[in-house]
Amino acid sequence: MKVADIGKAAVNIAKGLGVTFGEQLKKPITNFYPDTPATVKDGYRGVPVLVQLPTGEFTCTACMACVRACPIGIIQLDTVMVDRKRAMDEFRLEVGRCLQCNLCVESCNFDALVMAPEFELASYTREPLVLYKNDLAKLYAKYFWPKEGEEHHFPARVTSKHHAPGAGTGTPRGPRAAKIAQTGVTLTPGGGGGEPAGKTPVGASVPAESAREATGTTRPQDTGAQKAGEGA
Amino acid sequence: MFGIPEPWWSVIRAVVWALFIIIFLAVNAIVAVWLERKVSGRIQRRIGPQRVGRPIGWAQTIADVFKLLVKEDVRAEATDKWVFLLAPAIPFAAITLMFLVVPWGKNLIPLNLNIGLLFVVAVTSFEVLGLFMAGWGSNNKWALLGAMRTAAAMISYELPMVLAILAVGMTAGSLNMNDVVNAQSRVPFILIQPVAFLIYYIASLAEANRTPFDFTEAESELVAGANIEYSGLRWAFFFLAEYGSLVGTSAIAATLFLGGWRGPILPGPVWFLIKTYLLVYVAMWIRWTLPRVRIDQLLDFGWKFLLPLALADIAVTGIVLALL
Repeated sequence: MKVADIGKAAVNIAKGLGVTFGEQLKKPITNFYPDTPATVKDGYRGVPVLVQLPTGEFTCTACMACVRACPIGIIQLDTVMVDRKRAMDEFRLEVGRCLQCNLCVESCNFDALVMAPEFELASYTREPLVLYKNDLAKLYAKYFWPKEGEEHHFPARVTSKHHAPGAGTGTPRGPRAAKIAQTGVTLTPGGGGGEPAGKTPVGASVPAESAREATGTTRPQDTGAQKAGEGA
Repeated sequence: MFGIPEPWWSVIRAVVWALFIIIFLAVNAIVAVWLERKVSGRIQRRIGPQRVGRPIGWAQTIADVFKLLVKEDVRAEATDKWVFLLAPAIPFAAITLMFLVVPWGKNLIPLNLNIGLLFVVAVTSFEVLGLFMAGWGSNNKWALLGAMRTAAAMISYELPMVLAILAVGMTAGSLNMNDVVNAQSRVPFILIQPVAFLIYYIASLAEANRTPFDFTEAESELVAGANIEYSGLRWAFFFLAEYGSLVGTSAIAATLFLGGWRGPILPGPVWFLIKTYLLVYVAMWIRWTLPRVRIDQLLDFGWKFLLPLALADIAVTGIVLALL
């Protein structure tokens, strides 16, 4: 041990003490979580929830794309025929096993599934972790329904490809969205909801195309998946 | 005094002082643990305990004490019964004895020994005995390793510490604690003997088993060190002694180098506590800044640097005193 080493050590210890003393003067960054609500970052994947408009209508078309996309098969979708058209009757999601992989959301051609930033899912048994369509709609309403005096904006769908801000504004497409547009709900700016498409035949994709052009998003898998959904 | 005959008066005085010191050490452990957690929290930009006793968490350590009181007193079969059971009392007794000669104010000293400094040095050495008994009696290799390291560290650091105290004794011209404080009526000894203060403070960190010299505990290496087999109240006594030793060495440092109870406006005991807890805070600040040194580095530093430095300091002090 040299005396010079001791001197060097003394200088460094003084530096370290200076750093720790400075830290004490800064404001703690503690988040008082249960006392004050915690916030999550944009794009946080919590629970995939079903989009339900304030009118009570689901935008889901029962195309089963999400059921096929789910790698662990925790989505079950029961269909029912309404006016000779297939519609979603019940939706079942075992959120306790969900990987938050976002594949169901990305596979949805109608933006009827979005990730809600819900994270307080703890429960004592497994039963509360099986969510049905009304539970999912409740979660959607909790996070995405407009506050008093606001217009309803459909949540941005964050996909792995379009993670940049502005990408995927989540404007609903397809015939259902067009029909919803008639109910008077304001859609996002640039959305295809303004199209008078009430009489559009099932499967017509005019509003969808316009929405895609407006938002400028390109999803090559769209066409195929959509056709598969429509063809079923 | 008060119509009580002299021998009885001495007994009452002794009992009152003993109770005061023990209660002070118990309260100190509670306050110091709370302070330690708060300081560590702030250094890591947390806030430390805050839920028990809102908003500053003042009741957290009290709750911990009650938890320790109701815990089972566990003793393993293979332990050396009496050594194991008696070990926790010894460090605590040593710390209690150390406070016997610490002046709290003018004429406010439990026992005005004329060899106060020597007494402090003598009784603090008992602490290592208790820790070694704990390590030996536990019949556990980690406990024994912790005890061995503690013994090595404490013996190495006792020497520079004694020499630093000796330099103070030379400057003050007395080993009586009251005289040392009175000698600092104009200038505290930290300005006259800064090297001795540094040596004493570094050695006292080792003596109190504080990081960067916390070889008794060394959580990351020895699980818990010498007190690994202890639980409940017996463990609490080790803890009490640890924080008592911290405040004890800080109190001695405050008395020897910072002028003890001397200070303007405020009464003596208040000044004494302020200075003591300032040094306690510095020890905590150091603990949450520096990592633990290696045991051989610790011994190297003690024997090859601090001891020669302390000897040189004494030589210089002697020469200056002879010339003046």
